[in-house]
Amino acid sequence: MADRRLERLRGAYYRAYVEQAEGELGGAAALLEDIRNALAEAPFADDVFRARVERLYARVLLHAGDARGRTIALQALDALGGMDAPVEGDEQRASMLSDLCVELNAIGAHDEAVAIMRRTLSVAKDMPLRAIRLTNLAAYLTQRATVRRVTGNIAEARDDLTDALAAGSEAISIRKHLADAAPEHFGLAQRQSQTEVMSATVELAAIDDVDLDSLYASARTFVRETLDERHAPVYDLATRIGRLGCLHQRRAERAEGAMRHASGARAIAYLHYGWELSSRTYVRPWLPLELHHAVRSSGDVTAARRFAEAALTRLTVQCGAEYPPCVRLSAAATT
Amino acid sequence: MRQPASRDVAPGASARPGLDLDAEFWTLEHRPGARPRRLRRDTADSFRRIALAARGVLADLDAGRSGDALLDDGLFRLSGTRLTEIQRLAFISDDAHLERRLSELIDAQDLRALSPARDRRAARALILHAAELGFVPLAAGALEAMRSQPRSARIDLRTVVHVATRWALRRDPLLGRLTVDALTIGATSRPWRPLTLFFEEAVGWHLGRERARTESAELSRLTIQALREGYAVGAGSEAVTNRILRGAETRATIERRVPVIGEGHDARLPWTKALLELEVGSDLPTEASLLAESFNSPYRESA
Repeated sequence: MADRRLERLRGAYYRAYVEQAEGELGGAAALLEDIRNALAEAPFADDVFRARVERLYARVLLHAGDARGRTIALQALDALGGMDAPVEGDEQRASMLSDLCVELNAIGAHDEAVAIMRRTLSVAKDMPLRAIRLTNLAAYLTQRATVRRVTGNIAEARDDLTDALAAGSEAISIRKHLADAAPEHFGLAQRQSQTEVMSATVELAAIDDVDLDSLYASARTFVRETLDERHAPVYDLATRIGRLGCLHQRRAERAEGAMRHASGARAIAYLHYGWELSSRTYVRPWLPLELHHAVRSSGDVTAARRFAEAALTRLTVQCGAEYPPCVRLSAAATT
Repeated sequence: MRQPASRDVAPGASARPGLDLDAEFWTLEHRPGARPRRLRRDTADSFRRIALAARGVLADLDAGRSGDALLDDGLFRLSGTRLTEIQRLAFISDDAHLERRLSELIDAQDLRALSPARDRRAARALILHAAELGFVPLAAGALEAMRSQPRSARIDLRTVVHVATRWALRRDPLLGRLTVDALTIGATSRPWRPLTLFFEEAVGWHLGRERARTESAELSRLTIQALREGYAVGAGSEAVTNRILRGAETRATIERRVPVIGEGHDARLPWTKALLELEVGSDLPTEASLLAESFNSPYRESA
């Protein structure tokens, strides 16, 4: 039996988790600070639980616009043993590292998130867990591909997207099998995997010549099927709608006259919608970059600059000024 | 932790004495149909030893076993002559003393109506008692935080659900599954007393006392049922939690969650939603694209 005092702290941590999930960031931060103070005087506490508290605290700070969250997330990784932390034979640690990848990816540490997720994937025993990790891996690879595209590294971006599509497709396959047996439990999860495949596919359209009409048709169908999901995570909704906006932008770039104008307008509307929907979640780098690009392409230079300024403020808190998408937005905000 | 803050409570909401955060067994202090009582220290020690003994006897069961095999094995280890092991590990000197303790546990866990032989109710009570030792500290920690920071009914109820699912699926999966199986007779799930009491205090802040009592028993049963279904298909805590919250919404214990789409501070968003529905619902008429122009650039100076 674990120490009773420690279990009480764990219960308080569960409460803090729910508070942050429901957007009560101030309350969650205060409670987590209490827990951190208590843990500082608790040598009996295990390092995995300490890391859980630190990870959640980092998330709460970042969502509240406090850049200290980045440092805390990286410190949590170090405390667990860093990039080479053992995952074999220690499910609790593997689970913690897998969860921490969400924050690592969000702060722009994509290499770390991808590498650790691949390691934890290799020890995922059951299929539902494997599907979760494959889906997350697809998301991290796609975001790294965005960064690589921004820095001109197209070949590696393409490699990441190929891997993302493979991971996402395997996750869909697993989850479809599970959802056929238990749609109430796995329906949402299956659509999460489909969202990541959609995102990777649309990202690929930014660097390769693809059949846009066919891609648009399938994206539109997917958005229609999932538009009224009440319990879908907001970042999934933001991704689906934002990515539909990306496709409109790609179509606008290939069209002329009124069609170009109409597609461009819809691109801005949907990307803006995605941007607003993700106001309380982590920003995915492609979203502000694509929205800026769409506004800039419409010819409204002033509006594009204003958006770049606003997006830069938010993304810099999350990822730091040196993050390539921030550098790109910074340039856009000053030119 | 911070000092408790005052709560805005619904008229007629719970004013009964709250659960004792330092108690190890809420069920023994709040027996069905009896006035709440504090356990004497030596009595609490005795029950703790029994719980630890049961945990020890069950510890090497394989939580991954399918169907009823896990429960059958667990009940077998806590029945008949195997009870002498519990007696030895818990330092209980005579059979009659153990019998009295088991009888108290059967009442506390509300299992008196079950058959002694067919349902092996004493063994079930021991499983639930062993599980409670791990569950209550988690619930007490969450409850302490809940008392200090008043929140909405949804957040308070979700906290209870979160603690229950994390405990059952991640923190203590063996006892979690045994508990859920022990509370399932035939195809019917029963509420679990410590979880019911936890729900009762949490929803008691938002509902009237009588309603909180009925709701908490049903929410507890719903949670056990959702966990059982979750174990059967390998669902994670998020999926199980969603099922329970949907059940609570259906019962109107909490308000139905508004779809995320359509929320937001930007007045253009409902128009975008309309455009989106139009686009994905049917081919977009050319005229409709004019609508898009009305919010062409949300970042204009005039926006």
